[in-house]
Amino acid sequence: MEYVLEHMERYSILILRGSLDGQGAMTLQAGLGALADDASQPLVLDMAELSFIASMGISLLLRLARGLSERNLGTAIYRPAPMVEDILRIAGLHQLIPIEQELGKAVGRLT
Amino acid sequence: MDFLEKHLENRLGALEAAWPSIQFWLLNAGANSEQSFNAHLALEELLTNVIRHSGHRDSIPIRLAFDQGRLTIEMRDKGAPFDPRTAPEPRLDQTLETRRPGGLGIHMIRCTARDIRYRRENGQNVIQVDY
Repeated sequence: MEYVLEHMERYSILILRGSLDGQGAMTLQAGLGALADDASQPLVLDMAELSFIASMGISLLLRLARGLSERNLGTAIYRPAPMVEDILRIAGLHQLIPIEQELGKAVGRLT
Repeated sequence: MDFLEKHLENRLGALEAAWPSIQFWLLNAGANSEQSFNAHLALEELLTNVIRHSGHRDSIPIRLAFDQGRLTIEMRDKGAPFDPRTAPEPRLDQTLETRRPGGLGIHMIRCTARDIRYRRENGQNVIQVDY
């Protein structure tokens, strides 16, 4: 699991790469534990290079989005691979965090 | 029939080290990308469940079999009886603020699998998942 956090003018973008399984969730949690507390911008989760996600990864993303929401900051998911998107939808995540295939649309869903 | 037997370490993250060899076997056996993805999901979620909830303390035996396009995953543990077919469904209709974790992994297996079988045998849970 690798990730890159980039700060744009109006939002931040978290690029996720590899496998967000139990181990990946622990790695991401350790690296970004304070992100929701310190964030001042909404967040786009770029999943184009995420090859796998499991329930521990989904729970981590829910906690992250909840923490941002408590600061009135939105979260959107951008271009997940088809099988990853299927899992996100099975988990009902699309009802809580918008999923878009275009960056402009994802940014538009942040408010 | 092609099959693969392994023991996974009893710790979160154990599958990360074992997965490349399992994935290699799946590709050689003829599994498609969807079966491989779903096998990864089932092994990850079942392993997490055993480690967190079952009380099983030893390594965890798994068996994968591929026959005529059908993939079957089997996991055994000596923990408390647990039938994944009867586990409660998670509440997916809640808001971001009220939603709580729990039950999601088994729900995802149930939604992606062709069939799930369970039996209690010699003090062990035996769970089989077909794709």
